Amino acid sequence: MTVQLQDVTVHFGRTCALEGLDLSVAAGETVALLGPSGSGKSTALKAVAGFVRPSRGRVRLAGNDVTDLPPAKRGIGVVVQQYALFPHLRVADNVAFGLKAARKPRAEVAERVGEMLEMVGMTAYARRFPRELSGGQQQRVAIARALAIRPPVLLLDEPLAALDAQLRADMLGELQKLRREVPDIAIVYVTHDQSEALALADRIAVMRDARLVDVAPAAELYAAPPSAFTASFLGGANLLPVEPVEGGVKVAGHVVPGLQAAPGESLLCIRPHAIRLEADAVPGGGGAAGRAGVGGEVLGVQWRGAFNQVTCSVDGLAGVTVRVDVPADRRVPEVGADVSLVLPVEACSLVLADGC
Amino acid sequence: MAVEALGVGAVVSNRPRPDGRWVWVLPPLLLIAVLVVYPLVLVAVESAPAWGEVIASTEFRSALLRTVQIAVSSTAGCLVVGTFLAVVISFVPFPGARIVAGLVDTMLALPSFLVALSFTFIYGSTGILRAGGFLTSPWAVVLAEVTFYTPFVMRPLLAAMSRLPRAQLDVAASLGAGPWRVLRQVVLPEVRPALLAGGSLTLLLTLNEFGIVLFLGAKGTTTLPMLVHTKGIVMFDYPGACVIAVVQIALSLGLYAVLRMALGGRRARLD
Repeated sequence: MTVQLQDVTVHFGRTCALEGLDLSVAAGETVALLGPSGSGKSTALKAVAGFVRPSRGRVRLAGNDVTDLPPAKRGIGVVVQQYALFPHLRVADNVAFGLKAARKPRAEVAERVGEMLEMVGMTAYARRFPRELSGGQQQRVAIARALAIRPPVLLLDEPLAALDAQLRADMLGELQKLRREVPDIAIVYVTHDQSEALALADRIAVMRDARLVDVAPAAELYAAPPSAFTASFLGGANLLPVEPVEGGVKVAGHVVPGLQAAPGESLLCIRPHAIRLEADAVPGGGGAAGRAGVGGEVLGVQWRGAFNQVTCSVDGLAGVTVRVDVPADRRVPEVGADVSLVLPVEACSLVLADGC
Repeated sequence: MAVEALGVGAVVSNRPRPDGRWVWVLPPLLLIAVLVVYPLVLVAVESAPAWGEVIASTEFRSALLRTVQIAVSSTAGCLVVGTFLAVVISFVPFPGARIVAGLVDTMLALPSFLVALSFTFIYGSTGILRAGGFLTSPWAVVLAEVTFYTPFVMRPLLAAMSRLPRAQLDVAASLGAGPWRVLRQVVLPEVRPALLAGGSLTLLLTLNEFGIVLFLGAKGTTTLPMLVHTKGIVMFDYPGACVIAVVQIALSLGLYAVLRMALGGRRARLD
């Protein structure tokens, strides 16, 4: 393993910013640390970089314990949200900074800077100052600067958070391309944006309240989230309380057959796009027996371009709302209409109720 | 139609009326003319007959040289000590750093002769160090000025350093730069405008410093302000004092103009 975090705990005064994190990242692997603000994901990254000192636990790089080493001795590439380019240095000098710090020969520095700028498509901007660049261009320079020192590990801390939506989408593509160009580097990618994590990561580590909640390959975590928090944070799944019955589980009086609840699993998880919405034939529902799914009422409709997001209440579950994504070419029920929420069993899974 | 009707005859202009503008501009101009320009013109007129004699005199030239020597040495000392202290307060966490930073502001409010007075208790013939001759040497003046004017360098530096993004220092360190390289290649270049501002202010103030030099009464440390005092108050040679005063003013204004140009040019490049 290139990066190994073992029981890493970080305190800032009395505040625990990271609690007992165990995580490994292999060479060539991209692991996304995903979580809301204050979940400890950036602190974990800082512990790897050496910017904060763990109060407990060890950090290993390529098997060597680096917990007590300063950042300058770790040889890790770091890209931060606000780019942190040196404003008084030109683009080429920014990229050369780490190479000069390592006292590389002048010819080697020039060659490597040229390579890096070419890789990120910034050769034409080598003589510019950072203030003369756009946000996306600055981010490319920051990546080139971090990779110039040939780090075995690249840490990206919310690298797209400061960009506007269109630029973010473009840069996401750039980062995917970059990943292919540096196939041997271990990448730790911190983000609160699930779409970035899903697009870039081989594995996703979901964090909450300074702790690691779940870690698994991205597709696995999305398809079968182990916890309610992960289900909700990654993909915005709907969570409905269930009770086990013979041959399945019962949701708001409606039996979903074929699901076996393990001990503690008391929530049914289903993605918004997997629910089918059917208008009730009889206004008022006509009873659970007459429906194809769970009964509910449309509370609101939001047009999202490619789909409409319909928010529904659930009959018999006070305070529970369900989000359903209805493709834009399908008819959308009006607010106040009684509907049936059809829950296809193949799209349902059961998760632990973890206080989410 | 209603909107058009309302618009008829309504002339909208951001330009102030000329007569209204003079009401605001004239009083301050008159105030400056009476309080600042007129006395300076009187000094210049009074100095007219004595220029040749004063400029040719050895005591004037040595005072001019001594003034520049002390001012440059003190400013250099302030820059070194001020930068060092600002770096320690900003980047080396220690208990009481905030209190120390607050004391810097307090120093700015004290009169300069207090430092000279305190020096007599330390370096005077009956002081703690009993460094007899030191107190009356030009070095005592330099040391006192460094002590008193260092906060003038520190204040803008502390403000500039507090605005430095922490991420830049972290990233520089991750790229393999040790603390010394980070200081030299990241911190100091980025706080250079503050360093220039503090240094130039200190240079101007030390060129005109009178209280410290007078209080220490250092031998062989006759500066231009001291010479103005001696000629004007002790010897009643007003024309001679006025010549030196005019030179002092020209020196200060010339230096100020050069620094404004240097700082202005730098600011324009940054913009």
